[in-house]
Amino acid sequence: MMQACDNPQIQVPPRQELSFDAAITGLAFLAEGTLATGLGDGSVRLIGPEDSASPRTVQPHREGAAVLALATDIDGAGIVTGGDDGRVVRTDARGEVSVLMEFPGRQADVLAVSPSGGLRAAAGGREVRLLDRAGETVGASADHPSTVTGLAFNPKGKRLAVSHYGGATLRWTGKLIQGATKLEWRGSHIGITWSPDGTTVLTAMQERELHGWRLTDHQTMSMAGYAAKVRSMDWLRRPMTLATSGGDCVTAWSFTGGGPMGKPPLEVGSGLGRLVTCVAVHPKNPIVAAGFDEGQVIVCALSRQEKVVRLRWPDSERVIALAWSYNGTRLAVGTEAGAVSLFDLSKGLPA
Amino acid sequence: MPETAPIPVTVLTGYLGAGKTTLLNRVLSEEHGRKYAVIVNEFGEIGIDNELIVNADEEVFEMNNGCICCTVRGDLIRIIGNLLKRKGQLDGILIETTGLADPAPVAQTFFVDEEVRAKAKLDSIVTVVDAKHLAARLEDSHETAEQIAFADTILINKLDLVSADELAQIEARIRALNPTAVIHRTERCLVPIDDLLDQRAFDLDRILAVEPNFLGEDDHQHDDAITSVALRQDGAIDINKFNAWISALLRTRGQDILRSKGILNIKGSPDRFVFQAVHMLMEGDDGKRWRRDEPRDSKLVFIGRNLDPAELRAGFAACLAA
Repeated sequence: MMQACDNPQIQVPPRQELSFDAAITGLAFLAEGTLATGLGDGSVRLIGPEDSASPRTVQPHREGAAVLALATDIDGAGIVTGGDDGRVVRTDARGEVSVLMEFPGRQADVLAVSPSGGLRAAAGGREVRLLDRAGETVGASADHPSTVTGLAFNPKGKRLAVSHYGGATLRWTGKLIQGATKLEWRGSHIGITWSPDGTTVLTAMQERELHGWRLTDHQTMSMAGYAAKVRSMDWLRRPMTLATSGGDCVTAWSFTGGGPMGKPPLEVGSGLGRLVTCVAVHPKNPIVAAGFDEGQVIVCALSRQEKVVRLRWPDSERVIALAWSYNGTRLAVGTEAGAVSLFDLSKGLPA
Repeated sequence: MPETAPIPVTVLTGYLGAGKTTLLNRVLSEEHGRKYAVIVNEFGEIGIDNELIVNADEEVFEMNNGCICCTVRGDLIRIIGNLLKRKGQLDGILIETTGLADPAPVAQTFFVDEEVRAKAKLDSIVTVVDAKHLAARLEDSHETAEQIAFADTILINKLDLVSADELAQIEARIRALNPTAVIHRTERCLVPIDDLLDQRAFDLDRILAVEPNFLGEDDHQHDDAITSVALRQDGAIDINKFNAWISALLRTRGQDILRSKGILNIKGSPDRFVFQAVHMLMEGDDGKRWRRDEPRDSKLVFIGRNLDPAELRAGFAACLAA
């Protein structure tokens, strides 16, 4: 897309390598530092901050099923996973497992957690269910025109955005059924995100573009030109920027100064790989980590003066997941071949 | 990336009551030593609880890709993507469609979506028909004729309920709709699983196996105006001329042309060129090498509506290399 970065800074931070015999399908850190890893065999591996060489195996999903969705739970002390056995399960740091809901015969591949709203949402087929902190179902709706493909809470956890064919539906979490707002746009929407200021809902589309609705003034936006479907989106809070996968570099849309309409995206980390498959914005600094389909991982500043640090070299294995620890000192990488790379960046970051 | 062979996908079509469920139950319960995931439609009647069964809703989506007849199964893109995350390679995926389903969106899904394409390959379309009721179904539903037209393999089921004469008539009607499909005659869908799954029908070399009917020029009364045109051409084909002709033909007539398939003798190539299309979407690749002692010719089959044999023959003849 843009000119190649001339000389990526090469840095070798302390790292740990782990290897599992199934694909990594999701990663998330717990608040106390444990890394939870979801696998294609339905297991979760808990990698403790002190004893990361000896991960603990938990089996929240049926053996042979795959973990399809994974997120840190409301309290930060556990994770929620969805599997292709149709179950949605909480696993805590000690490895205790509790089934939250089941969608028999369906793949539970979509979920979202809102710490501020104290809610978890999951979908199977056309149905969305909402659970509170205690695990009680507080709402359910199957009133969607197709299989639900994405869920996102607004920042306060008062509203839930649901993506599906033909657009998205916005619901109030207090009364899931009534007062739904339809956001229509022709085509297949495959993922959804809500901006951190609550003003904008964006979907990723089958047709390799993003579509957005600004809720404050009903303006819509389309961002096209991606080489592949956008599978990964993450927000930088200030200045508000959406970092996305789907190009040969990180494509970042600035939402300041009237953007993103009419403005080209910021493209960072170009010239280093073929396709960005995964992005994760640092929890504190304006920095993004990006994984490529050939295994590279870079960390770079989300600015025009791009500084790029290459952390992981190509090994022909697609990066599936990236996760930053709560304080942003550790970065976890998971690949399709079952490798987990854990970087300690407490002594240096590129910005 | 560690290259693994794409997983073969079989699409199972057929009118309600033809015997699809019987066949699926066999695939799921028999000791065949292979691992097949089965995607069933939500109204299915599979009586087995099995982690290899996934429910789907037949969500047919229009693609905004400029191809006017291009519809895909959006739910399949997602379900197959998820199945491929599982540990351990599946031997195949079997997709059941409802009795009234048009097979085209299922087939087109495997051409259009890059992620699915990279890991799974449409192996064949299998259509089950009920010997006793086929004639009536062809009268009262256009879906039945389309399902036969699309098929690579056809199971004429419930054979015990018809006479030899009736069977001959049924086969003649099927052949008029689809001259190249492999036909199995069965009771309770009893055909070896190996003869149905992982056939590589879309590799097309198998078209040669049904050679006797391949060139049959026929004047049957056709069902729902679906006809087939089979062409044969001596002499080598100019690949550029052929590409230009077939692309333009499918672009303008792809709505009417349900399936097209061909094996071509390309000038300057030691290999057969095999090509196939579903409506406007086509793919072509090198096939088996020609043997030295083998006569080389080129064959094309079109199945669809409003086909003009003379026009197609003339267009194909104009692709000969100078």
